[in-house]
Amino acid sequence: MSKKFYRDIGLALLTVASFLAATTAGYSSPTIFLAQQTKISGKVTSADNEVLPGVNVIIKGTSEGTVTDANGVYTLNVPGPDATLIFSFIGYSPEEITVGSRTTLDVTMTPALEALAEIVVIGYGEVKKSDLTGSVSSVKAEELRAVPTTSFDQALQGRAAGVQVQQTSGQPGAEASIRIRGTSSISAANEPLYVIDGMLVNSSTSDVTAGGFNGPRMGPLSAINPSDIESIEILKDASATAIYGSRGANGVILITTKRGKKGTSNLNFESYYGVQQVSKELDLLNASQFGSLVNEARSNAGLPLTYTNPQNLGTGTDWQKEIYRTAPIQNYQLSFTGGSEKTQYAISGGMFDQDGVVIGSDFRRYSFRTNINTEISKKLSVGTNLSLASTRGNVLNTGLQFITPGVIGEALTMNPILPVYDPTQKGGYTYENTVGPFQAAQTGTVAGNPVAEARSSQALSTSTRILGNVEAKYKIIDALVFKTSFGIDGVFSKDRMFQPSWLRASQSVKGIAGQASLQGVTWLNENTLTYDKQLRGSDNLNVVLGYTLQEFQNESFGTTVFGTDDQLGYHQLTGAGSPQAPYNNETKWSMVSYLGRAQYSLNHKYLFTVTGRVDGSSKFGAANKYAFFPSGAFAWRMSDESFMEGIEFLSDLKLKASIGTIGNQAINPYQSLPLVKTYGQGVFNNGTTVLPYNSSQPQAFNNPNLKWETTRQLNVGFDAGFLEGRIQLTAEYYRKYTYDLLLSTPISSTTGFENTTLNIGNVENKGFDLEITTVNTNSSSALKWNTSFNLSSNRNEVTKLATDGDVQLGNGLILREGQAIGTFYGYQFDGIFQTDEEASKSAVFANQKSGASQAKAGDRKYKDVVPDGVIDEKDRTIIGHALPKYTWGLNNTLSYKNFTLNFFFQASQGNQMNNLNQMFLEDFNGEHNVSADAALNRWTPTNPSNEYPRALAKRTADVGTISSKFIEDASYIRLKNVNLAYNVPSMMLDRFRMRSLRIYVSATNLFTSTNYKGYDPEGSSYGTSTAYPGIDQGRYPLTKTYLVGLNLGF
Amino acid sequence: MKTAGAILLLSLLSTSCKDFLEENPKNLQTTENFYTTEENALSAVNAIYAHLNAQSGDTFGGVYFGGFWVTEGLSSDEMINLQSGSPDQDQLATFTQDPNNATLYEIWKQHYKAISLANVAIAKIPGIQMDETLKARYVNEAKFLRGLLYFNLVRMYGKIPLLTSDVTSTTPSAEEVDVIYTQILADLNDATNLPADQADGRGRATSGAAHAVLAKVYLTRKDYDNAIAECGKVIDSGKYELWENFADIFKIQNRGLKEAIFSVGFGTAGSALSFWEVAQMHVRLLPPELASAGITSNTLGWTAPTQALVDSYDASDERRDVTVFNRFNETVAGKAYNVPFSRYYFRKYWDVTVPTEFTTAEANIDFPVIRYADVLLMYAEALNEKDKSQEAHDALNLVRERANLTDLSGLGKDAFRDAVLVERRHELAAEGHRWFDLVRTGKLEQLVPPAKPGVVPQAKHYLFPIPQRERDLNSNLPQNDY
Repeated sequence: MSKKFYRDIGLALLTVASFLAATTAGYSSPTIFLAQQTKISGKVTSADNEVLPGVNVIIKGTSEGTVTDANGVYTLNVPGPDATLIFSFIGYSPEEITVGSRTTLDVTMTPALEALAEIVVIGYGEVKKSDLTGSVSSVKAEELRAVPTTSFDQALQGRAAGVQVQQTSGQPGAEASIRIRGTSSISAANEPLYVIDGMLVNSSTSDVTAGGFNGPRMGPLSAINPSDIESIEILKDASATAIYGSRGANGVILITTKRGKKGTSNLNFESYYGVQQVSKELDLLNASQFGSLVNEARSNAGLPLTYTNPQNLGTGTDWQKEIYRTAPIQNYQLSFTGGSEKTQYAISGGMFDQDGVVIGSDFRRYSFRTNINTEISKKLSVGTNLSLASTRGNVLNTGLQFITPGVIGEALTMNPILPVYDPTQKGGYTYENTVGPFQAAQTGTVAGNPVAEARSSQALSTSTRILGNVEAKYKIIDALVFKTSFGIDGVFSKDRMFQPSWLRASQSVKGIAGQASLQGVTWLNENTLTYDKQLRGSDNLNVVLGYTLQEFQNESFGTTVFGTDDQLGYHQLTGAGSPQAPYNNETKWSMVSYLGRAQYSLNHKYLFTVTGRVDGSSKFGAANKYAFFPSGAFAWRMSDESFMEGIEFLSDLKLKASIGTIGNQAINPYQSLPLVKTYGQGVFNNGTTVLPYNSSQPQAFNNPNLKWETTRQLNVGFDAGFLEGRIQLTAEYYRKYTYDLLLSTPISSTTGFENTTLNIGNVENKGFDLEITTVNTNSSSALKWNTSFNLSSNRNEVTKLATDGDVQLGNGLILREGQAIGTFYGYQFDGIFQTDEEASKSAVFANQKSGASQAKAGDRKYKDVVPDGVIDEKDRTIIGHALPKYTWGLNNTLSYKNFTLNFFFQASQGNQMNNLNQMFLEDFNGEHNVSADAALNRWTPTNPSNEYPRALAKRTADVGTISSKFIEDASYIRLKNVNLAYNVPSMMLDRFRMRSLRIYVSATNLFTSTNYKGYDPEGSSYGTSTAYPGIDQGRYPLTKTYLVGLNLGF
Repeated sequence: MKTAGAILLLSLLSTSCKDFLEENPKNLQTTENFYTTEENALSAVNAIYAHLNAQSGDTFGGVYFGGFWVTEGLSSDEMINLQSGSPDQDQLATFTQDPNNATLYEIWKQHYKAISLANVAIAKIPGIQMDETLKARYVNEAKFLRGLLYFNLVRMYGKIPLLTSDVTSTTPSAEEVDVIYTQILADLNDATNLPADQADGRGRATSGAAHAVLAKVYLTRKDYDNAIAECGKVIDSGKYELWENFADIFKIQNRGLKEAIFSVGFGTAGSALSFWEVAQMHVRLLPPELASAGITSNTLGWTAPTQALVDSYDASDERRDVTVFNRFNETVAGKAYNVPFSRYYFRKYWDVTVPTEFTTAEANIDFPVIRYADVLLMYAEALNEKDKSQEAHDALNLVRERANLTDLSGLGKDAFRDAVLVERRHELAAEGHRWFDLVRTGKLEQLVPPAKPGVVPQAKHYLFPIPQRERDLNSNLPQNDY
């Protein structure tokens, strides 16, 4: 960069600084007094009447001064009534007051614009933001509630740097995928640890759902009502997460629910109602276009034509329209908060109801919460946080099936000539995607009727979750507090499924029904001693020591029957034709942990944190039961140094660095045991005598050398505030090394297994997190405009692989040393053969050289990368990456008088998606519907397309080939939410004894800018699975939501 | 309060952490504590059998479910593929397969899965305290199956890993073909110590089954003396005889009887088992017209005979109408049917006299791995090679007579070779033999093109390609000439 660049930046900053300085409101004018005094004393408090120890009190123009004591009291000799005292304290605006005639001068300090005094919740404690040494992002309730979501994890999208959230499915209640600072594991979970009011909760989907059917999985956190949340803290670096030891490697999300405030009594009612629509429909062929395509495909294959006059077929059935609908979403929440001097409470009840945009899917939640804390004596206080939620969701069968491709895949591929209904069929619906008399019968998987499947398949998941803890705090001496808590996370869930005998998907088993239930209970006991002492001057020491015990127990049971009664469905399994063997599972793990942290603040300028946790886990092998996870951090508030005083526009500058080791034990228990399970059944037939037999076999390839993953993380960065805090900037750089990556790796099937868990290598994540918040207008302006922006850039690299070569993960994804997780590997699409002669002279797949599938004009060609005249596996190269290069979020809030407009953009850049839907939609064999754009521009002798192949009524040789053709750029910028609110003025409310009334309209996912051809560039068909990012295959599409809402306070 | 807190803390700290962290799943067993009883030993052997038929577990087709015997038929003059969504089978039918062929991988995987379970049984059962006779029988059953499976693999893929222990490397080297045959012979010779009869029928390995497979191994290795000797042991055992009518072989009521030497059982045992235990023959071989006509529920006709096979039957050969049909023109349970098909399909596995077989497409039939007619034809083939012409003719004519064909006599050595091959084609169609027979006799290039115009097998097609997936994961594996 040139000098000119820096000069321009400097000039720009100076201009902004002087502009803001000129317009900032002045401080209150000093009053002039006549008498002279020499000694003055007083008490310094905050706005909410807390005493402030350690406040600097300096006589202006001198170096003389003092600091307030533990009671916030100061005493100082001043030269005379003209003397002016400057009170300064971290996180508060400095106060300048001329002494005048007073002998007592009490001061109430007001927080600085950006509240550096803001309290940030960290593991097992809280800390002033200014004293923070680690990397922690905070998200406030208002931001969470801006976007209507079933689950708060979805609402975190784009809100914090270093936190990548992906909506995996449009299914109401479906899980979101969260990655904090990259993907550091493949088979162990990458989802962060969630701690709700101190309770470490089960956030693994398999821990909380019974798993009775095939569809998007219900989010494990959908039982938590987002309206109850006060704030969320995201712990990112090792200094912040090491206190959670073996569960900290993926970051930690701390959730604090709302509680009452002293001396208040509020009733709040919140509600919104809205409608949702599918965000996009794909443009497919209509009936007459499809009829022509079928004819051409058959003609090209030398087969007789199917339709005599395709142009007379009209538009036919739009299968997408048939399964999508405009669906309502609504939310109601009533809460009471308040408290006396000793007891505070927050009690709430909520109801959330969402229909899916695809028929047959919905989600509903009832939830209740009670948070109470009370001071029994000066020394002892007790409290409880307790929530109960009941959820109920109908899940759509979008998963890829053995027999049918799932509802979305079917709607995309079903023949548009077919009607939805066929009264001659048992269920009254057109049965399946038949094109000619025998074609469908000869196809492998055949699409069933998506309307029939969506309407008459049932997959109902209900769950009741109790989450809560009781705690007691005992003040042993003033600085030493003992706290003990006992918490429970209990999940009781049940899945039911049913498909009648006349559905394509279940015809072969004559109807299928099943039930599965799960109960899982975690209990957690935590005991901590906290020593927090103001030392000499303004030094501070805070030490936490703790001992915790946790146990998880989970039991599930399920059964499936074939040959069900079509009327009774899953309600009556008894009497079904072929009951299948029931299945059950028991899982249990336990942990014992010792934790400690010391924070030392030297004059608020030099901040030290040392953290460690010893975890003992039943999941670890006998030799490795215990592991130690240490971290250390240092921060330097440079702006408090005297040499920084002259720099006016810089109001705050803190440099920070941390390093530490954390673990990931989010892996199934019993992994290191060589299990044997019952497996095979069969018969020996002896004439009419049939002798059934059962058998048992080893469950997995035995690998006794499994080790656990560990992550080392380095974090450096700074927090800076400019112009009295009107610009706040946090920038951090991190490197995360994860060792002994566990992966269910494909292995040679000569072992008897296709996969096994191996420690296959190391992975590194490095990147920048940047968060900027700005106040763009000055405080006297009627128009207020605030902006916050965050940017995350992550580079993932597999630095070591223990396997011989690449690890082929499937769907074109590989692991290769030096490449990122989520690297696509395949052939390079090179256009379309224009003549038979070109096809016969070019490199083609071996089976395209001659015979039935010989390459002809109109077939796809691929680059012969290793030029040996044949296209084979040697010609595969890296053709894309599923992980984004960077993601960002931009939030703007504009208020004018009583109106507030908020608009929020969220973006992901530099990522690709393997569009497997499109692969099918560009296969013009005439057996299923296809993309209109592609099909109408298909290769014909008169339309020499170089992108789309010819129509051909047989399987071409390259069907299913992973190539650059279908690896699409999935970068996007999305207007995630727009919200316009009106706060009814209080004078109008007083008549109705209302405290506040806010009315708003909001739109979510209104607009997405992307080149991606599929429904949605975000997420993956494989949900939160780390091994399969960026795969688009029959997913439940994203929805647009429009809603109106009101928040009412009494 | 202070004391209460301290007591609580102390009591919690004194909890024995060691027990608290002990992993002791009560719902699971490990390889360490499982193989300890007679029942466990049986369960370990049954696991191998369970991978021969069909499973509702991780993958639903075992070794003899479909892919294997269809591949041997497609890669010859016997079968064509009509399953349009199946490029893998198109490739096999036209000799254009490459190392990525999914069917060939499936065959490889299923064989090694069953072999790995045989290795576990052979390694673990000897350590179990149990009846010694039974112990020896179980181990020998496992050895029979291991020998049979390696015999399939070595013929199809040539040099392959030879794994015989329950602890294996993930990247084993390939072994020379001769070494693999040495192991096959050792396993099968041990298996000849099995009892001649098993209470569970001929789905469980017997000494007769071991001799019969040994005969085929020797014949393949052109060790005709031993082939003759092994066939002789099967014939002289008196345990086997031909059914009077060819159609009887495939009757439900005749499963495992008379002619059956070793069969793989399919069926649900009256719904006692899960869905996928039925065989695929009806779904795969019977025509869609039967389903369209409302006779069967789900017959798809994926695999059909070549017209050349149909045409090659002698008009008087009773086996033709049992084996193939292009019209269903029969009376079943008093109802007359007459459904024409667009072409010929295989008929032989369909026992229309059993109502569930007739209508549901769920085949409860046995797959005949080796049957007595096969042994007689092997005997004839081996005797002819040793110039024992008369005995060879006698054995061949036993099979012909049952088919209502006239005896052959006085054929020269070469003519007799051809006659045996024709007889095998007609007798054993759709039983997974044809590619093996054409490869053993070196007739692939000669006999396939007349049946499939334009399809030209080459020398390399005497072996199948090693699956690419396996070579991606194990750099020690060589590739055949692909």
